[in-house]
Amino acid sequence: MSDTYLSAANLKKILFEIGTSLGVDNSDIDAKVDKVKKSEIIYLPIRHHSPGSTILVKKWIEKYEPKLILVEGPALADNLIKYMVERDTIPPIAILSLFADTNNTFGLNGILSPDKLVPAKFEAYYPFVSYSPELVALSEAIKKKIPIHFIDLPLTGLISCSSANLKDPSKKVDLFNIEGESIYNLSKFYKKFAQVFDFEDFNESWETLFEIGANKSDIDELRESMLLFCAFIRQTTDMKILKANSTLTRESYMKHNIETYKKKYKVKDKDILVITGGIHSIALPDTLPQSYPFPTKQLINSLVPYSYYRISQKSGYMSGNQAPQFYNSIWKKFTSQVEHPYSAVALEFITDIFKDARVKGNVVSISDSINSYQGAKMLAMLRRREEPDLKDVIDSIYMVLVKGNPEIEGKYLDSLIQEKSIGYKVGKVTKNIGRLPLQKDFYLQLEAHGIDPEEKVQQKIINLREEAESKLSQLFWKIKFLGIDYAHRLLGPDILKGDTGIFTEKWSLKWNPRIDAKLVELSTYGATLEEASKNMLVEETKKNVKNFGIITNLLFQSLSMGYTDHFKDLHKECLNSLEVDNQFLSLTEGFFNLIMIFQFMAMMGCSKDDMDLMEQLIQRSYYTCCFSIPNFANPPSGDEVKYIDAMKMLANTLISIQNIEIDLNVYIESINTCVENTSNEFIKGGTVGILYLLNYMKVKEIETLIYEYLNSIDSIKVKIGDLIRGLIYVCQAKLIFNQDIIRVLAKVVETIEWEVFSAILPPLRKAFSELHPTEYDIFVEKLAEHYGLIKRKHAELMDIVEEDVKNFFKIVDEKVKKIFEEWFGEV
Amino acid sequence: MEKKKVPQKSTTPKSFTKITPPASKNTSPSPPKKKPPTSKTTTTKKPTPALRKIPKISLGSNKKSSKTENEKIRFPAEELHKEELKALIQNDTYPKPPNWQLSPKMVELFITGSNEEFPLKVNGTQKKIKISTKFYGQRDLIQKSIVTLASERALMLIGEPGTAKSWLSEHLSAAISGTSTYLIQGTAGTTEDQIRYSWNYALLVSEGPSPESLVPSPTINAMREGRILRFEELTRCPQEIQDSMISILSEKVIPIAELGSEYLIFGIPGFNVVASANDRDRGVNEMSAALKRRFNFIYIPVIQDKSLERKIVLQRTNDLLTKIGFKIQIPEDTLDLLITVFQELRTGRSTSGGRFTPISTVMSTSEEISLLFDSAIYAKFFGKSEVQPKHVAMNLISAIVKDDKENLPKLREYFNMVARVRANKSDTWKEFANAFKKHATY
Repeated sequence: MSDTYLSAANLKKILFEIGTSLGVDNSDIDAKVDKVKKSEIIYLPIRHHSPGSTILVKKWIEKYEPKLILVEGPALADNLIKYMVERDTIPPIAILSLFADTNNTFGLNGILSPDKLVPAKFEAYYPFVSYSPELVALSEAIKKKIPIHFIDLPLTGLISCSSANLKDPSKKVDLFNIEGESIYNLSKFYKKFAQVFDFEDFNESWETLFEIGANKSDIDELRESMLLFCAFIRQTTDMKILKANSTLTRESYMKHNIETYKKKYKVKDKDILVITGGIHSIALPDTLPQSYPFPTKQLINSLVPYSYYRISQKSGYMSGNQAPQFYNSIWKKFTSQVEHPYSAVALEFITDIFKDARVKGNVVSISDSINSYQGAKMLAMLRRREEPDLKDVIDSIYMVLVKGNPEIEGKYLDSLIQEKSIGYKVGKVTKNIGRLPLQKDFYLQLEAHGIDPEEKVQQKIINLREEAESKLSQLFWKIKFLGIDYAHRLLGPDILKGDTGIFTEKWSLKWNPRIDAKLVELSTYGATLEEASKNMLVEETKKNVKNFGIITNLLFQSLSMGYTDHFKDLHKECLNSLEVDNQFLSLTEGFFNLIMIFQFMAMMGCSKDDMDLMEQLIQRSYYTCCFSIPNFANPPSGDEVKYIDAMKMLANTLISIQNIEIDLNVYIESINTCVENTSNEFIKGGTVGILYLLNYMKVKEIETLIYEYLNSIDSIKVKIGDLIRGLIYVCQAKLIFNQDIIRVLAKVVETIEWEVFSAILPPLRKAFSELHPTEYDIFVEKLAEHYGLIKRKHAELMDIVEEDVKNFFKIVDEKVKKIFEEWFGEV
Repeated sequence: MEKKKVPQKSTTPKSFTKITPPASKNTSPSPPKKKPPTSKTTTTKKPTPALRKIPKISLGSNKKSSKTENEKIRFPAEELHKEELKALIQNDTYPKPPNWQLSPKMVELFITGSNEEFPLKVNGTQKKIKISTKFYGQRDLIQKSIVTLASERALMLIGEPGTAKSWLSEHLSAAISGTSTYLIQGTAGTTEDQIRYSWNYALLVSEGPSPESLVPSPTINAMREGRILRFEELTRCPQEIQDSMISILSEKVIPIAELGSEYLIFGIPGFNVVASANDRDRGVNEMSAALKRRFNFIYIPVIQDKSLERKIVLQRTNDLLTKIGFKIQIPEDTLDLLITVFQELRTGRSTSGGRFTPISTVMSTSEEISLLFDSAIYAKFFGKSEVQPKHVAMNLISAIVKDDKENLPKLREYFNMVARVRANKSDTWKEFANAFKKHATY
C-alpha cells in the first residue's frame, strides 16, 4: 500500500525516473546530494511557513545539539532576535526593513521616485508565523543558549546587486521576492513533475511530498528527500534566472557569513547548523564566499505585527502561505503528537465550515459532514496522498454542499472557507522593543490634545471656528493623508463637492495594532507627522504632475492639514501641472476643485495675496480647459458620456461662479468649434444641447440641424440616433417637451426607411430610457397631442403648476432669509 | 515512466463501506410458480442470481463479427474501448470498492487517458495498449465524480447542454461496471414504472402478481448486480416521478408491494446512480430538496480555453467524418474563426474588448462540433471537400436562430460590430461576413 502514496520515502525512484526522461544526469544529482550529506557543516533545507520543515528543524536541534545556528534572514537584523522570541511577542510578526536613499547612493532617485529631489524608498517584509522554521530555530537557540544569526543580504545589499537592473525601466525586477519560489515553476524538471502527478501548484506538490507525514518521518530521510527534490529543481533551472534574481549573490554572501561566524565562535564545522531554503542548501557547500559593500546608515530594521491575511497569497505576497490558519492547526496537531494530523484537521475544518453554513441558514446535515470527510479522504487517495490536504478538503466541501454551478451557488462558501483557512489573526510585538521617532510623535501629538491613542473606539466633535480645535482637525487630516488607519471623518464640510456650509467635524478614532506597523513603514518619510506628511505631499505632487485634478486635490488636502505656508509651493506645482496636463477630464476636475478651494480659503481667512494668486490660477485653468475642448471633439469610443458630463459640469460652474472675473464667450467659442470639428454625433448633440441651455442656440437651429441629417444619404442618416441621444442626454425635459422638437422627432420616425430606423433604434431607445419616468410619460402625452390622439390639457396644467411652484418658493426663500438673518446677522 | 506495481493487500479496503443487504439471496425473481407468492417467499433459499451477462469482450479472436454487429451506428463505450478496459483490469493493483471492475485510480486513468502503455495478454500473446483521452477538461471533476460513486451518494452531472455530461456518465459506467447500458432516459413522459418495475400483463392477468410476471427496470437490474445506473435528463421528468428515486437512493431497496410486504429487492455493493441534468432546464422541473440531498452535484463547465476547445472540436468532428468514411479538409483559419465566433457570442465580448448582446441559444462545444460536421457535409456534397468560412456562416445562422428569433438581431449586432471590422483585414472573415450578409435575410 505504501507505494499508493507519494511521500518523502518513495520519492527517490520517482524523481530519478522523471530525471531520466528529461535527460538529466542522475549521477550528478546523486553526487550533489551526497556532498551536502557528507559536508561537516550541516545544511538543513526548509520551506518558509512550513510545519513540516519546522518539525524537521525542531527535531534536528534536539537530536544533534549544534553549537552555532545560522539562519536565512536579513543580516543586520540580529538585534531584533531577542524581541522576536519574547513571551509577549505573538506571531504573525515581520521584520520590516526600510531604506530611503537621501544621498542618492544607488543613483535611482528620479527613476524609482518621481523627482531627483525625492529620495527613492525601499521596503521589505520578512514575515514569521508560529510554525516558521526560522522562528522556531530562533526560539530553540535562545532557550538552549546557542548563538544564532541571520546571514542573508540585508535590504540595501539586495538593492545594491540589483541597482543596474532597477535603472532599466523595461526590466521588471522583483526585488523582494526573496524567497524565490517562483523559480521552482521555471524549472523544466518541476514542470514535468507537476504534469505527471497533475499538481495544481507548488504548494500542492510540496504538501504531498514533505508536509503530510512529516511528523512520522525519519529526519535524516526527510532531509535527504528534500535535498534531492531541490537538487533536481536547481539543476534544471536556467543559471541566468538565478543570477538575475540575486540568488547567486545572496548565496556567496551567506557563505561569507558562515565563514565569518565560524571564525568568531571558533566552533567545529560539525557543530554548525545552517538553515536555509532548500534551493540554497544544495548549492552552499560549493559556493565561494564573498562580501559585498552596501550602505547601512539609513537602513531601518524594525519588528512589526503582521497578519495572516497578508501572509496569505491573497494579499499579493507571492511567497506566502495560502492558508496560514489551516497550517497553524496542522502545527498544533504536530506538537500535540496526533498520529494523523491532516485527517484530524480536515475533520475539524469540515465540521466548522458546516456548522457556520448551518448558522447562515443553509440546510446542512450530519450526513453531509460524514460524506464530505469520507470524500476528502478518498480524493486524497486518488491524488496519492496519505491524508487529505487543504485542496482535498475544499473540493469535498463543494462536492457535497453545492448543488449547482459552484461559481454561483457556492459563493457563500468562499468567504467561510477563506475565514477558516486564512484566518484573521494579527500578531503583536513586545513593547520592550521601543518606538521609532515617528511612532513617538504620533502618540505624543494625540496625547497633547488630551486623547488616549490606545483607547479602542472614541469620537471627537470639532468646532472649526475654534483655533485650538481646528489644530486637532489638522492633525487628523495629517493622519488621514498618511494613510494611517486611525482617524475617520464621519461628518464635516465636503468642500470639493461644494458643501461649505457646516463648521463642525465629527471624527471616529479607533486604534489597532496595524497602526504601529504603518508608522514604522512611514518612517522613511520623516521623524514627525508634519515632516512625513509634507514629504509625502511633495512626492505625490511630483508623481501626479500630469493630472491637474489630483494636484488640486492635494492643494486642498495641504490646506486642510494647515500648511498655508506651503500654499505658494503648491500654487507653483498647479501652474506646472496646467502646462503639462493635456487631458480635458482632469483639467475640468481641477478647475472645479479650485473654485471650491477658493471658497474654502475665503472661509479660512487666507491672506489677500494668496486669494489673488488663487484667482489668477482659476482664470488660467479656465482658459486652459476651454482651449482644450476642441481637442477632444472626437474622444475615444466609449468615453463620450464622460466628456459631455465634464463640459456640462463646466457650464454649470460658469453659471454659478461669483467674485471671479471670467469671459463666458471663450467657453461658447470653444463649444462652437467642438460642434464644427466633431465627427461623433453624440458629442455634436450634447454640445448643441449645451449651447441651447446657455441660450446660445435656438430651437429653430436644432430643427434645421436634424433636418440636415434627415435629408442626407443613408450613411449619414443612420447617425441621427446618436445626435438625438446627445441632445436629450444634456437637455432632457428642457428640450423634449418643446412642441417643435416633438414635431421634428415625429417627422424623423415617419419618414425614415426601415433599414435606417433599425440602425438608429438602439441609441434612441437608450436616449429615452435615460429620462425620468414622469418625463417619459409627459413626452408620450405630448406626442399623443401632436397626433391629435388627446387634447392639450396636460401642458396647460403644467403651466399653471409651474407658476404656483415659483410663487411657493419665493415665500420659502423669504422665510429662510429671515431665519439666517436671526442666526448670523445680515447675510 | 515505468508503471509502478502496487502490491494489493486487500480487495476491500477499509475506506469503502461494504453494503450487505439483509436478504440478498431473495433479490432475484424466483422461478415460475403457480401460486402468487406469500410473505414466506422472502425466506426461500435460492442461490444468488447470476449476474446479468455483459456482452463478452472477445480479444484477439479471428472470428469476424456479424454484419449486424458491424452495422451498429454507435457502440457503447465498453465495446468501443474493450481492449483498453481489459488492459487496465489486468494491470490494476490498486484497491477497488466492492463489485467495481477497476480501482478508482484506473477509472480516472481510463477517462483522462495516459501516454503510458499497458501490457495486455490475450490468448498467450502480449501487446501494448495506450489509453486514449475520453474527457478533456479539469481532472478534478473526474476525481470528484469517481469519489462520489464510491460513496453512499449518487452523482448528478449538471451543466449547459453539450458539455459532455452523458459522455462522461457513459464512460464512468463502462469503467466502473463494465456496462453503460443500464439507462433511463428522463422525459416529460417518463413514468414511475420505467424507474421501478412494471408487469407482464398477460402473465399478471393469467397468474396474478408473481416474480415471473415482474418486468424489472434498469434500476432493478443495476441494483441486483451492483452496477451503475445511468439516469439521463432527470429534471425533464415531473417532480413526483423524480422523487421515486429517493427511497432507491437512500434505502437502496425497492419494495414490490404487490408480491407482499416482505418482497424487497436490495441493491448490492457497487450499485449507484449517475444522473445528468441541464443547467438551463433545472427550472422546468426543479428537484425536491430531499432528492438533491441524495446527490453530490458536479458542475461541468463550458470549455473556456480556446486551444483546448479547438483540439476537441477538431478531433470529434474528424471522428464523426471518419465514421461515415468522409475525408474533408478543415483549414486552420476556418476552424479558428469558428472557435472565435462561438467564444465571443457565448460571452458577449469580442477578443478586442468590444461588448455586444450575448446570444440566448446554447453555444456549447457539442453545438460547435455539430455545426462543423454539418458544414463539412455541405462542403462534401455542394463544395470542394473543404470547409469554407461561408459554410460556417450559413450553418451558424440556422444553429443560432433556431429556438429564438430574437437572436437574429443580436447576431446582426455581432456581425456589424465585430465581423465586418475584421473583414477589412482578413480574407477568412471577409468571406464569412459576405456569406452572413447574404444568408441572414429572414
